[in-house]
Amino acid sequence: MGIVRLTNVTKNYIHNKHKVCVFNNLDIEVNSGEFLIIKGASGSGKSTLLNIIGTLEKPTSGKVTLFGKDISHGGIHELSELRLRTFGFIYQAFNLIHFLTAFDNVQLPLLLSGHVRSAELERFVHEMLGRVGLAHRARHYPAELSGGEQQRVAIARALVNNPTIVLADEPTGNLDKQTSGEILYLMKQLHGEGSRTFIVATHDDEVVKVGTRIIDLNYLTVGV
Amino acid sequence: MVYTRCLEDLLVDGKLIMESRETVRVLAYARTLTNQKNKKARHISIGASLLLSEYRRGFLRNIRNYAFMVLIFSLVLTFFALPAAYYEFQTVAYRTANYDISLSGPITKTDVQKLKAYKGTQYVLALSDFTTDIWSQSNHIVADVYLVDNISIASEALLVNKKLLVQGSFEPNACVLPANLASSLKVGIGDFIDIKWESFKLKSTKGKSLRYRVSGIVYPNTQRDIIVADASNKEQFLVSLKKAIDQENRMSTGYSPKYSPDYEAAFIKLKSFANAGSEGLLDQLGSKKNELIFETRQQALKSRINEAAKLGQSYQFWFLQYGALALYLFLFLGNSLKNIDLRQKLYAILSAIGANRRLIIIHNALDSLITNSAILIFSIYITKLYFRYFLTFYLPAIVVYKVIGIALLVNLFAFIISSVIANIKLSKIEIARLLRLE
Ligand SMILES: Nc1ncnc2c1ncn2[C@@H]1O[C@H](COP(=O)(O)OP(=O)(O)OP(=O)(O)O)[C@@H](O)[C@H]1O
Ligand SMILES: [Mg+2]
Repeated sequence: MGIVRLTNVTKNYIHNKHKVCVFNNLDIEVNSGEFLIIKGASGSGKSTLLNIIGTLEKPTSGKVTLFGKDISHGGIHELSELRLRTFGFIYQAFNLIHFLTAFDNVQLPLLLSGHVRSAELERFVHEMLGRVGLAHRARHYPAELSGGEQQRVAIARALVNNPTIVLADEPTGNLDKQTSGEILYLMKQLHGEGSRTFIVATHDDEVVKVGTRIIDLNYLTVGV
Repeated sequence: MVYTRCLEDLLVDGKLIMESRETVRVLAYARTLTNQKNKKARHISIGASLLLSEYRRGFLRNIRNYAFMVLIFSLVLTFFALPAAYYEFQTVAYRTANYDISLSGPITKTDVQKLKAYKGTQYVLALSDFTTDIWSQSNHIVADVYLVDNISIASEALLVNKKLLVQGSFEPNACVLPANLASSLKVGIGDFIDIKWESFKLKSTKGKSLRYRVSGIVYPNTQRDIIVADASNKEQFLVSLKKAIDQENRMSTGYSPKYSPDYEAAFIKLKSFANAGSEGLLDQLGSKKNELIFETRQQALKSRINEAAKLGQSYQFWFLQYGALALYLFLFLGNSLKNIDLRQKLYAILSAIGANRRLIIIHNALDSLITNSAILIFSIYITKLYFRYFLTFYLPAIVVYKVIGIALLVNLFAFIISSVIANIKLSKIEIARLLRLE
């Protein structure tokens, strides 16, 4: 069943008065529960595609639907609500808030979605940090954590509001081989335990291997 | 909103995150509680807690910026308050004193009798004026002392009068002094001071002294700081002291005045004052009037007003005021723009994890409100210090209100401008670009 569908999506940037075409008339359907890999050469538009699905960027033309509803033309409040509850983002650069502890970074989406601070909420956040193996680092600031640990915090933050779709842009891009493997294992585990959909942009072959389906933006061919 | 997953979903596919149904139940309960809560209040509370964490982690990094802004802003306030404070400083004594005419020079009891006898006279306050040594427990200074024979008339008539009291009152057998002298003598209400004549270096004054309890403290105002003391029962002491001083001076210098004056100054109140009327009064004194210096309070006040107005009219001073104001606004706006630039990444992250634009605007507004208020409060305080220690003026209440008014107005203006610019900048943030690589 398709939960996200891109129909005829074109994205152009205007750069120094020149039109840069990232992709043209793209048609993609994302199925519920899959671990979809987006691969392609640098500059092929992987990040742009994830951002368009995640409503952080608007397509130049075409339509993006989520559960059959058009989300490419939503209002800012509607879209932020969508990012809060339906999408979870994981980035190559981790993008944690540097002045918040691991605990506070993970708690923030819960506060945004209306939970109040309480002993129960605290327990839940600790549980979440435990899931990614960081229960003992709750009070640490991002600068005091290794790259792999920061990415674990980012994963906990992305999943804490129980999103339907997790968007990961080169999640292992900043990590060494060993740590990449651990992060990949964690993501795979989190995917396997639920019916959540993962869309992962990468050119790391190890990541490509674990996908249930691959879209190569260079050829726009569908593998496995 | 349409796409919001409800909590019941978590029970089905949320096994992964929610270990126990108990947790889910608790969270569902928490959600029902908060949904009734005002969304705006939630935004304010999250915005405030983010700011708090940020200040805690990186407060010192910005402190130098803010300290500099406080310094400049208090200069702005000082420049804008200065004309009013200076006007007050120059004129307040002449506006509040109740005499019409002042006379200074060697005045005798007979002269005073003649002045009192004039039909238009309401009262004559004659006094002994010394510039001499004042001692307290811990310090001594040289200052002017008015030894008056009627403290209650003095409290209305003189340039040091009861309308200028900061503390205490005019009382019999006690003295009143300006705050700056009180602070250099380190005395307060109830302490004692001694008036001595040691610096005259005469045999006749050696060991002579008058002790007074301090009963009141007044704002310093004119350039001349005067202590007023009740000498109504010290007449004999003063007469013999002056005679002795004159005699000793005569022996050592050979100069021989026609008489020993009983007083050095007189302040006269007329029943109905008109400038012309004063001629009739002085005619009472015959040829003696040429030995005395005569001034009406109105003349003195007018010359003080002219003096005070010079400051406000000076082109350079105007330039200083508006130059400092422009510099402050420039710094303030520059700082708020820089803050937004520094926070772009934070705002991009917040947007990506689903924070509402309103939260971001509230966060930014709260920050400028907090820094604004802090700058305001510190600047007003430092302005007071500038006045007290650097200009040695006192800020009268009316000028303090003016300072607060100007401060509020300027900061409100700066806050509105920076909020407008911030909202424009925030609406243009490129979230996707900021979240790529650092
Ligand atoms: N804001 C922008 N303005 C102009 N051009 C842009 C902008 N963002 C992306 N591009 C261009 O769009 C193209 C696709 O960029 P994108 O980042 O999506 O590629 P990518 O596949 O993620 O590359 P990489 O593997 O290096 O991350 C690139 O040519 C890039 O230069
Ligand atoms: Mg990319």
